[in-house]
Amino acid sequence: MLFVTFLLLPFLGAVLAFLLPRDRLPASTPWVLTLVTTGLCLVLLAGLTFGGGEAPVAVHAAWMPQVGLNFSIWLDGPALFFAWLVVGIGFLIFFYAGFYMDPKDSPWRFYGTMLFFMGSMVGVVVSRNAMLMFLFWELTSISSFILIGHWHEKATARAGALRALIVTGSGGLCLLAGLAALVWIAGASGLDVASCLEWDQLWENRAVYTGHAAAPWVLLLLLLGAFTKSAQFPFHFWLPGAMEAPTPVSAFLHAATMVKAGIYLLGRLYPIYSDMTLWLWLVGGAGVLTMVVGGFMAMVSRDLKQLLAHSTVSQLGLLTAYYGFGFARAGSEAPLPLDLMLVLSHALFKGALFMIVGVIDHGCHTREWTRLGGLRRTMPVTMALTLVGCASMAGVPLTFGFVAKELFLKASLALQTDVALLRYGLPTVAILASLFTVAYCLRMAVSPFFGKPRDPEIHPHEGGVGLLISPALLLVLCLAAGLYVPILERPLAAMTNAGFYGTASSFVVGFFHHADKLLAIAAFLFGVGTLVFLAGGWLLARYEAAGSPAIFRTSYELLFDKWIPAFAGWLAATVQPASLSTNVMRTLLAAVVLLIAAGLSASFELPRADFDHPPVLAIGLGVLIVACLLLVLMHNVALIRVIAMAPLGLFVALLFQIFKAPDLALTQILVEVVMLVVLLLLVFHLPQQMLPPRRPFRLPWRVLRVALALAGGAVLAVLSHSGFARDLPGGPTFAGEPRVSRYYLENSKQAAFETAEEALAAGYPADVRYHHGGGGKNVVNVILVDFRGFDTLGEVAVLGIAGLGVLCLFTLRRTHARSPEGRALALREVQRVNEKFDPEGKVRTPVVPRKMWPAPSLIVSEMARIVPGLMLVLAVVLFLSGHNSPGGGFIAGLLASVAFTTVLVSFRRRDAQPVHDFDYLRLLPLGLTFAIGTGLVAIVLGLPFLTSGYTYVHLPFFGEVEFASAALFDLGVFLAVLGTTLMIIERLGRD
Amino acid sequence: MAFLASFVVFVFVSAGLYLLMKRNLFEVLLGTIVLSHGVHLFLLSMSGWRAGTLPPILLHDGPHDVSVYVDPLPQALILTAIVISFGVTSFLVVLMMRGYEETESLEATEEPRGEGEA
Repeated sequence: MLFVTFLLLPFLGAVLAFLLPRDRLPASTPWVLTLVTTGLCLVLLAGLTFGGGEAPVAVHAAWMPQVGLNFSIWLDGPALFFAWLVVGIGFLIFFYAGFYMDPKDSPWRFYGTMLFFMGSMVGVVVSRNAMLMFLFWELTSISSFILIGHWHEKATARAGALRALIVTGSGGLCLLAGLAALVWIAGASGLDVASCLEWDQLWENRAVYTGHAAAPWVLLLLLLGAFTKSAQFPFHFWLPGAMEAPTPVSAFLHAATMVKAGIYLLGRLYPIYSDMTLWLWLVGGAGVLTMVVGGFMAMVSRDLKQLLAHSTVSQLGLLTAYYGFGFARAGSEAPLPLDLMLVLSHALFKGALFMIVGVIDHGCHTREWTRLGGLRRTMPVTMALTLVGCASMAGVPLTFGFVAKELFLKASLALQTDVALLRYGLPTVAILASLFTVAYCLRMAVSPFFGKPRDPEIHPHEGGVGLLISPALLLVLCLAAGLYVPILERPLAAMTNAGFYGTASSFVVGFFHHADKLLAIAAFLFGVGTLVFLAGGWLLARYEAAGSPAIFRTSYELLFDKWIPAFAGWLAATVQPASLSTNVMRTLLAAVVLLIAAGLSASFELPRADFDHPPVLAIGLGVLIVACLLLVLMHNVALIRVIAMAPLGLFVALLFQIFKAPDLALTQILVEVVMLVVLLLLVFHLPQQMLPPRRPFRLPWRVLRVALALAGGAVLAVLSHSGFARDLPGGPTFAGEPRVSRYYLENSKQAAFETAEEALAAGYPADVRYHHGGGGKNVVNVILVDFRGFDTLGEVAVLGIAGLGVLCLFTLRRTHARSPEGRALALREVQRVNEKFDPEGKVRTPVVPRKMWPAPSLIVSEMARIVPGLMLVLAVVLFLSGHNSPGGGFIAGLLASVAFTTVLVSFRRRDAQPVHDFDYLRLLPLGLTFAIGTGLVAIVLGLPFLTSGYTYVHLPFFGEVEFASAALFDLGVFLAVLGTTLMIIERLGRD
Repeated sequence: MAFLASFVVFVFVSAGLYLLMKRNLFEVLLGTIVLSHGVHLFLLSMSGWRAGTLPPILLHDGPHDVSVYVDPLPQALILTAIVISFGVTSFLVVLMMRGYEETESLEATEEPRGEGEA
C-alpha cells in the first residue's frame, strides 16, 4: 500500500495543482505544493528502501492478462536506483525552479506538469511489467511535450515540442509493437501470456525470445523505442530542439531523468538480448556514432545550453555504447560492472551544469559564450561550480566522472568479439569521440569565465543562494563520490546486481588502480582534447561558413516539414478537391464499384415482378412516387420541389404500413409534417432565384452522374430484394438458435418459458426464464425503451446535439451582430466578399435576409384554435398506450411538436406569446435527466444500468394501464424530442 | 410486393444520389432527404416481410408462436433513424441559411485556396 501511495502521490499533487482555486491562492502555492509532494515521496521512498526485508517490495494486480498487461510494480535494484535518482534530483531541481522561474509564468501548469512527469517517470522505472512501463513511458513523452512547449508563444518552442513528441512518440509505437511481438512469441511458444511481460519472466525465458526466428526484428523494434527516447543517432536531433524548454525542465527531463528512460530500457534488455551479435552492432554502433555526432555538435555550438544539450547527446551515446561493450558478458563470469554508476555520474554533473547555465543566463541575459568572458570576477561561485562540473564531465581524476570514464574505457578495451571491425573499430571511435568531450568541457569551463569581457552591454551579477544551492549539492556529491568511491560502490553494486542482473560483480573500482594502458589513454585524451579546444574557434568558423550542414536534423526537416506535407497536400487535393459534388461522386464511384465487385462473387436473387397484392395499388403507388420524384428533381421553382417532398414522405409512410411497421408509419407522417414546415421556412428565407441558371450541358459528366446514381440505386435495390427473401425471426431456419430478434419477440411481454427445462428443451439457456420481459406487447417500443434503452439514450442525445448545433449557428451570429465591434467586423467581411466576387457592384449589397413567420390565413388560424388541443390529447393517449400498441415517446413527442408548430405558424407572436417565447431547449436537459435518472435508479437498486421493472395500474378511461419504469424513460425521450424539435422550428421562424 | 419495395428503393436511392452530386446546396439538401427515405425502406426490407405476416405487436400474453411476426429490430432502428435524420436535416437547413447569409451563394464549391490561407 505504501508503495502504491508512493507511485500515486505525484499524480495526486498534479491533480491538486489543476484543481485548486488558483486565483485565490498566492502564486507560490504550486511551488510549495510540489516541494511538499516530492518531499513526501522521498520520505516514502526511504521507508520503502530501509523498511523492508530481503525480497524486493512488489505489488501485483491483474489488469488485462490476455495481452500480458498487469499492474505489477516492484522495487528491485535498478528500480530502486532510478526511483531515488528521479525523486532526489527532482526535489533539488524543483527547489531551484522556485528561484529561477517567474512566479507569474503559469506556475500551476508548470509545476502540475512537472509533478505529472515525475510520477510518470517513477512509474516507468518501478514497473515490473513491460507493458505497464510502456504506458508510463508514453506519459513521460506527453509531459515532456507540454513542458518543452511551456512558452508556447514562441514558434521555436512549439516546433521543438512537436519534434520531440513525433520522434519519441514514433519510437514509443515501435516499442509497443516490440512488446506485442514478445507477447505473441510467448503465446506461440506455450509460455504463460498473463505473466510473460514481467521483467523477471522475460529474463527467465530469454532463450525462447532470443532463439525465435523473429528475434532480430523484435530487438530492433524494442531498441528503436530506447534510441528515440535517449536521443541516439540518427534520432538525436530532437534533444537540442527540446532546449526551448525552461532550464529546470532541461535539467530534469532532458539531462537527468527522461532521456535516461531509454538507457534504463537498455539496462533491462541487456541481460536478455546481449548475447545476440545484433546487439553489438546496433547498440554499440548507435552509441559510438552518437558520441561522435554529439561531441562535434557541442564543439560548434555558440549557445552554452545547446552545447550542454549536444554533450548530453554524446554522453547518452556513451551510456548506450557501454551496454554495447557488454556484449556477450551478461551471463558470464565477468558481467558488465556497475552500469548504473555511469548513469548516476552523468545525472549528477549534467543536472548541475544545466542549472548553472540557467544561473549564467539569469546573471548575464545571454547564454552565448562568444559574447561572454571574464565572469570570474563577477560570478566566482558560479565559476567554481562550473569548474567542478566540467571536471567531472571530462573525467578529471578525483571526480566521480573519472571513475565513470575509467569504467567505460576498461569496458571498451575488454570488448570480446570475433568481428575485427567491431573489436577495434568501436573502441577507437569511442576514444576519439572522447576528445570532443575534453574539448567542449574546456569550452564550457574556460570561455565564459576567463579572458576579458567580450560584450560591454552585458552587466553580469552573481546568482542568489536559492539558485546555487541545488547545483552545489549535486556537485558536492560528485566530488565526494570521486574522492572516496566506496561510499557509492556498495549500494550501487547491490542495486546493479539485485534482481536478475546475473552473478555478483567482483570488479573493484578505484582510481589509480590501473596505471597502465588506461592512464596512458586518459593522458592522450586530455592532451589532444586541449588541442581540439584550442582549434575550436577555427572549427566553429569553418562550420558556420559551410552553412551549418546539420545533415541529420535536415533529414527530419525534409521529412516532416517538406515531404509529408507535400504528400498530404497532394493526396488531399487529389482525393478530396474543394468541391462537394466531386467528392460525393468519387466516394460514390468507389462504393458502387466495391459493392458490385463484392456482389459478383456472391449469388443474389434478382428482383422479379410479383403481384400478390392488387397490382393497381402497387402500380399506382409506383407511378405516383416516380411523378413526385421527377418534380423534386426537375422543377425550376424551389417551392414546388419542397411541396412535392411532402407526398413522397407520406408514400413512404404508406409503404411502412404495408410492410407491417405501424410505428414507423406514424413516425414518418409526423416527421413529414415538421420537415415540411422547416423546408418551407427555408424557402421563404432564401431568394426565389436561389437555383443557379442551367449550366451548359456537359455530356460526359451528366451521363456519369446519372449512371452512378442509377447504379447505386440498383445495388441497394438488389440487396433489399434479397433482404425480403430472408427468413423471419421465428422461422424454421432459426428454430433452436437464440436469435436476438426472436428473443425480443418472445420476451417482450414476459418470459417465454416458465421453467428451466422448458427453455432447455427449446434450445435456450436455462436462465432465459429469469428474464421477465419488458412488459409490453408493442415489441418495437419495448426494444426502444427497454431492451436497447442505452442505444435510444444515445440517439436522443444525438438529436439534442443537432439541436444545439442549430442553436449555436443562430446564437453565434446574434452575439456577433449585436456588439458594435461585431457589426463592424461583419461589415468589413461583407466588403471583402464584395470586392472579391463583385468588383463592379452589379449585385446588391448582401444583407441578412429579413425573416418572419409568414402571414397566417384566417381559416388556418381558426382551425388552429381547436386542432392543437386535440393533438395534445392524442399525444397523451399515444404515449400511454405506446407500450402495447403503436405509439410511445418518440411518436408522442413528435405529435406534440406538431401541435405546437401549428400554433407557431398560425398565430403571430402577439397572439400566442407564451408559445412563441417559451425556451424549448430547456426540455432537452430535462428529458435527458429523466432518461438517465431512470437508468441510475436501477444502479442504485443494484441492477444493471437502465434495467426496467413494471406493474399494472387501473386508470379510468384507459383501463388496465401498465406502469413501467420504462415509461419514465420514455417520458425522457418524449421531452427531449419535443424540446429539440420545437427549438429548431421556433428559431427558424423567429426574427 | 417485394418487387414494389425494391423498385421504390431503386428510384429513391437513385434520385437521392443524383441530387447529392449536384452543386447547389438546396438540391443537395433535398437529395439527403430523398436518400434517407430510400435507405429507411432498404433497412425495412431486412424485416423479412411476406404475405400473411403480422406487425410486431403481440396478439396476446404468454408464450406463443412468434413466427407470424416480422422482425421488430430493423423497425426500432429505423424509428430512431427517422428522428435523427430529421435533426440532422434541420441542422443542414440552418447551416445552409447561415452559409447563404455569409456568402450570398448556395454553391457547394470552394474557391481554390490562396497561398496565404492554406
